[in-house]
Amino acid sequence: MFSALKRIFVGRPLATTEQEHQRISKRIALAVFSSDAISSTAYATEEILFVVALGASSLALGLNVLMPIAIAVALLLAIVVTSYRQTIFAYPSGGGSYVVSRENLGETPSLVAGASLLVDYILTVAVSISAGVAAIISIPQFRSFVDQRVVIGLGLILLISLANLRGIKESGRIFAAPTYIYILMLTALIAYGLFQSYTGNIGQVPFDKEAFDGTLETGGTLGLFLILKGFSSGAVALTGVEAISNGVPAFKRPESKNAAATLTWMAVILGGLFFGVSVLANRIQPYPSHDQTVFSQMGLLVFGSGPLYLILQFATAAILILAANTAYADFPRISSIIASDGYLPKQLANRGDRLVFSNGVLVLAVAAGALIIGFGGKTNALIPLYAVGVFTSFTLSQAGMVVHHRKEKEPGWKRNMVLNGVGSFATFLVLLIVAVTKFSSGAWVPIIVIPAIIMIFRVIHKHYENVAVNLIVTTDYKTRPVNHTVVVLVGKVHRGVLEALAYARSLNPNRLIAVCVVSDDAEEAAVVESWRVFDIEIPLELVYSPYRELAGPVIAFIDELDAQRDNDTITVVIPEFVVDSWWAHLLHNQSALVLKARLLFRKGTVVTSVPYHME
Amino acid sequence: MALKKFLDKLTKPVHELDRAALVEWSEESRAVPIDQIKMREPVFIAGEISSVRLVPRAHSAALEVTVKDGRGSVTAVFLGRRTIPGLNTGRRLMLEGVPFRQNARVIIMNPLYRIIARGSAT
Repeated sequence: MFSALKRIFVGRPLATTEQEHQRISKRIALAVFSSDAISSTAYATEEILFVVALGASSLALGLNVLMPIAIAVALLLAIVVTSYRQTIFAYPSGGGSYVVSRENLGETPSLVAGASLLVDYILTVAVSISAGVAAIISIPQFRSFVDQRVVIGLGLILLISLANLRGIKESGRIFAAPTYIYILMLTALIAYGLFQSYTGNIGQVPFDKEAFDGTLETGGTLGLFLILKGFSSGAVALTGVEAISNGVPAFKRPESKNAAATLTWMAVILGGLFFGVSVLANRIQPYPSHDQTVFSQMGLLVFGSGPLYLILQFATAAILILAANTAYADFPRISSIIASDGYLPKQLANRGDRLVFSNGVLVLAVAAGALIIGFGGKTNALIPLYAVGVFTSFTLSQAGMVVHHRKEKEPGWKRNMVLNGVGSFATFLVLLIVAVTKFSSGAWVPIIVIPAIIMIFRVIHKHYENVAVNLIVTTDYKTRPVNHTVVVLVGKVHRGVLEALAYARSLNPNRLIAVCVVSDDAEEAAVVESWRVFDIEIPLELVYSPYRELAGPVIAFIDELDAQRDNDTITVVIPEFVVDSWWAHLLHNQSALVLKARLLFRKGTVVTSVPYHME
Repeated sequence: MALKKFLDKLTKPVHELDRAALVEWSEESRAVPIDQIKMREPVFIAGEISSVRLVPRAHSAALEVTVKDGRGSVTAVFLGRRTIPGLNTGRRLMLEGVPFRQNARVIIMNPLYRIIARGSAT
């Protein structure tokens, strides 16, 4: 049943040899790797507005600082991208933040980077999906679904998870389309919108006081703190920039050169779109709202409610879902690297039968789903949690590069070191700004969760190390001589018991004893009688059980046997019926099951079930 | 004291209560506690049969009866017997004989035994 369902939804198993490595061109790579980064334009502007729009009366005030913030974010983007170009050339085999910190900074920084990345990929899924849902429910025709955003979000996560459990080629051509359509539509919106606005054909977005959800300090002044907080919200536009540096091996030769060119293009597009949206928003003055996205307001005003508007909204949703999908490629991969270093359960390092890291996909799906439920599927509520992890991993990765340059001393290393140094410093500064300005509104969550994850990493690592030390085989290691005692559990004498006794005899143990638990004289007499009738050649120990239980007296008896000899290995042979229907299992073997469970943890004890198949 | 006994009855595991009762009975019978007996000297003990081992027919006949008094256990071995009526598990009995140690077991060969009828002892 389960396997048939799995075959339908997940597909047939794939052999290890069916794994293939496909290299992709710059054109497709741009779409594939930058969907995460570029999609953040869909919510970054809006998130800035949520912070700086101080009540209805001074909305214009907030819009005025939008431009400086956009410029600052674009500048930050330029610094980070310049810095990351170094990583691409230094680590052509894929230099994620975790790998770079592990090789240059040591254990603790790499764990910080690893934990930040894990947290951030989870948030990427949660944020992108909720923003995608917001894009859909902003369409006037779909207004009625406003209250179902959590359900829709969970549905999307389920779909993406299934697709990823099947294993999809992230390099597939179909992934290129939504990204390019989105870039095209957004460019059209900005260009046409600005043209219309300057020619005076359109005015401003009609203000709806009911739907307005900005900071509700009416008439408050826009202090430095709020401007920095707005900047922190805008900085989420940088999430996903590191994707290209992780995926260098997927590029066509020369990989590093192509990847670096793609990164630059991505930065130009991302920066341009983000800046363009801010300029347009400044002109036509949309307002932040949970019911209708800023994009939707601007699209409706510029394009009207025709097909162009619908394409814009659906392309937005599509690229956001793609962005979530890239996290599905990255999270399982990074967790598998961490797991193979022994900091996460080894199961996460295993590929499932579809050659994907299935366990990682499942963990990500559950975590992201929980976030969506916990925060009501609102992008705005999730954003403050975001960015802490991103900028932590940026900082560590760039700092790692500084150390790398010092070690390698390649031609021009001083210049490169300065570039990465500036990158590291800038991202660290942003990290501080984000952590301070957003602490109370949610940034405290990752600040607690990331160290907690690191502690889990360490506990797991310690355990694995301990196991390794315990299992290590030195050249002079000798196994101890085994004194083998076999105990056969007997109830009534039936075929299954006779088979089990025959099996036990074939083990040729030093001691062989049949044990029968009895609680009254009649029972005892019956067993003794059948032992005599069948003439069984094995000593029978009758053990008294005043309260008619099985496990306790048997274990007490085994303890006594064990005490009589050294180096004793005791095998407990349990005859078991195998019946062909699941419900019939409930009718058998119940007390034996309890005994088995208790013996499982006894030292020097082997439990063997001898099956007797019913005809 | 009575309260303590009552509380013990509620809180202690049953096998612990049973053990205490067995110890009490053994002391009343003026038997030597099994954990205090000396090897190779005649001894009188009182306890309950916790297990009985039957030896298969092909072997020379012997019956091994393990007796516990709540403080230790002694195995009484009756050579030449396959079963002894009345020596059933859960039965209380008194034994007299000379104990010796083999492996980790204390054994008394062919002791004198007195079976205590069920219900009469407590």
